[in-house]
Amino acid sequence: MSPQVQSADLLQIECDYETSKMGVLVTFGGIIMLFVTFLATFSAMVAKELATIKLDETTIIVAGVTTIILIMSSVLFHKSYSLWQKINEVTISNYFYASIIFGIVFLFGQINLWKMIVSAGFTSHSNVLAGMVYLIGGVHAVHLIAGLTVLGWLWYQLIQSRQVKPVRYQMIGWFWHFLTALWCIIFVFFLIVL
Amino acid sequence: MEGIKMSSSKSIMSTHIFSTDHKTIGKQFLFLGIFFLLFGGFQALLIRWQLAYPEQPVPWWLLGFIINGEAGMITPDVYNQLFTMHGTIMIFWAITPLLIGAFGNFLIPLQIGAKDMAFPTLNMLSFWTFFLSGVVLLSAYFLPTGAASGGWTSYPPLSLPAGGIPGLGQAFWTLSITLMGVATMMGAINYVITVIRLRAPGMTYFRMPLSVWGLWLTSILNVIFVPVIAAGLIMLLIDQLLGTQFFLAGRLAAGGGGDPLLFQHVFWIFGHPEVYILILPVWGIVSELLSVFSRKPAFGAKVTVICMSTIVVLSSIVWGHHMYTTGMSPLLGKTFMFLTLLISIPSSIFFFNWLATLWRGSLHFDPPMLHTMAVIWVFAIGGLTGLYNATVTADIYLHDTMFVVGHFHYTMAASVLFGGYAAIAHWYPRMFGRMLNPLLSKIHFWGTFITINLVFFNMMVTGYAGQHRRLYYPGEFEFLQPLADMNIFITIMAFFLGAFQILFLYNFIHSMLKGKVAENNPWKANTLEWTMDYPIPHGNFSTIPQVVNGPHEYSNPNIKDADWVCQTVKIEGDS
Repeated sequence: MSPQVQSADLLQIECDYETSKMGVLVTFGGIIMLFVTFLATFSAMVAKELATIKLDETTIIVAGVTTIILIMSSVLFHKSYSLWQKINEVTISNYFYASIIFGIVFLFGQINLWKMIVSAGFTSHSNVLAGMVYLIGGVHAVHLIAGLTVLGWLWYQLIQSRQVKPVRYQMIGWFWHFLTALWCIIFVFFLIVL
Repeated sequence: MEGIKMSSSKSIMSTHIFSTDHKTIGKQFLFLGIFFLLFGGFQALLIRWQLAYPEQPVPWWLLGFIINGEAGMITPDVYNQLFTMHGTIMIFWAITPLLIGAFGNFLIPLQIGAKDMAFPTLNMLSFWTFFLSGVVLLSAYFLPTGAASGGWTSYPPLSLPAGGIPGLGQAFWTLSITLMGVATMMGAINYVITVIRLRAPGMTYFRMPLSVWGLWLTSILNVIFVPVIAAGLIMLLIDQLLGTQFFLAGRLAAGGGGDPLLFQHVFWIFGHPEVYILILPVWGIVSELLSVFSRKPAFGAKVTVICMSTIVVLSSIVWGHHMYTTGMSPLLGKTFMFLTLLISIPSSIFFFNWLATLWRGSLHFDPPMLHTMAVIWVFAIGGLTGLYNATVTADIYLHDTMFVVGHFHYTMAASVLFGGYAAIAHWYPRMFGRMLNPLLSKIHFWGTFITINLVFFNMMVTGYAGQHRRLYYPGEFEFLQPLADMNIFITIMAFFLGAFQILFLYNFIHSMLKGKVAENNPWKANTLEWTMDYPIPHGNFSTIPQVVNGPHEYSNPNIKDADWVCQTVKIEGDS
């Protein structure tokens, strides 16, 4: 391959990389607007005193623990990506598996959390604030399931020893980190408002 | 042979159905948009029939035999479904695919010198998600209780089972718009990124054609505000299906309930920018075509861009003017009124830029130009009557009357329709390689222009006289009985308006098959899409063009032997 062709290829890869990054960022913008609307509606309901919701300490601790689990999943994914870049761009590290498992654990943690809130008497039919908590958690969970699906796709590509474009691996990571950050903001928001 | 067959069948699927070529996707959106335009237009004629001849069966020539009412008459339930689905279809499934889907897809890569959209597969998915959303919407007609009937705004509690509308029609409506929103987001992300990343060398932002500017700003609004309505629709959907009470209050809500007004806020935070989402592409196209057919640079093109961008920002903080009658505080009402009236400043500036482009131009009254000039007229009337609705005191009287219906049909329906027809007439040779029949185009134009004004202007008159919108039988009220003749007149004009659209459809299809073969640049336009031979291949440009001029270099004294030059040709003597 002539140096000129090689540099043109590199330019194209760089161009694709930048375009993908920007596409993902704009998508995040859309998702942020979705959740901002939910949270603004939630705040309006609180301000209008349409309902009240008081959670006990155990529920808040469980929510905190699941949040930490999601943060760990995100950190582990970052470790797996760094390792993948450094050592070998084909194999999967244990960090990757751990990241997926922590993600799944978080989802089950959320279900458990919902059950705890329901058993405390806050159902979606009797309390609009509780309904909003389930809705916001649920929509976030749907995004998380989408994230896990993409992680599953990445895992399949890697176990088949297929070449994965670094930009794809990185963008999947961005999405996963974004969902983690989003949940942290939602969690802190709930803590403050409730 | 078998192999060839398979390969050829695969080729048809990938080139015509699941194509990732932006031009094919643009045409798919165009066909779908025209289908829904005719469908929504037909519903409008049924609405007009009911308003003019309330106790008479729908005649056979208006397909009266498909009406399931008593003795072929339109029942109140069917009437409610008609105006709900008419508004919904025209806004989301006719205008959106026609202007944003069709011309956004077709024009953006060609006019900025790109080979395709930034994410071609996402683009294809966008069309098919959009198609699916249309199927979901129309399938509601097959439900035992029929389609949605809560108005195109579907305010709760009316749109909830507890509020009075039974069945799943409203849920299908909500789901279909949510799906449509997903499709719109896919397209918008693509448009935004394509313009930022894939402009040809030398294609600076201010060298982009104004049509691309309009489409790009629309996409930015879509990315920001479609998720807002998506959030509201998700809440409405689970209120409808799972029995939550986010938007129920009072005795309708068993467990405390929420607040119906919250939906109105969410709806209009999206809904007002939506007006600009629909009209911005038209503003861009009009600004562009006026320059082409006046053989003059677009007057104050940069200022037009700045004005359009200012309107994008202002459009996001004026939603409250749709809610003056909801009991909002007078201070808030005045604030929204002030902000709304502010929009008239940038609007007036680019409007005068349009007029200045025409001033002393060498005007060519080809069909695209006729439609473009019609936009100037109808948008002026729509814009000026908007001032009344923006003013709290006038709006309290005019709110929910036919005045509002006339106003927004001038702004959104007539402006967008003429803008769409201008775009179709102008870019038809690039899309299909043939010319529309100019005589039929002109007959269609004049017929549409005269009748559309007689319909929508008189709607405003009836509204000013007190006729409320969405009334099933206005004649029931004594004070509206003197308006009966005017309602009949509007209806007859609406039928003529509909008939002229059949003429357009005939011209559109006939010209595609047997129209005069178009030369490569029949309008002598500067922009990049006219530089290639027809048919333009997938990938558009064999080499990415180098842009050296702006898009409006008409009648430049440094150009010899012609009054135009392509954006890629350097003009000798220009600095």
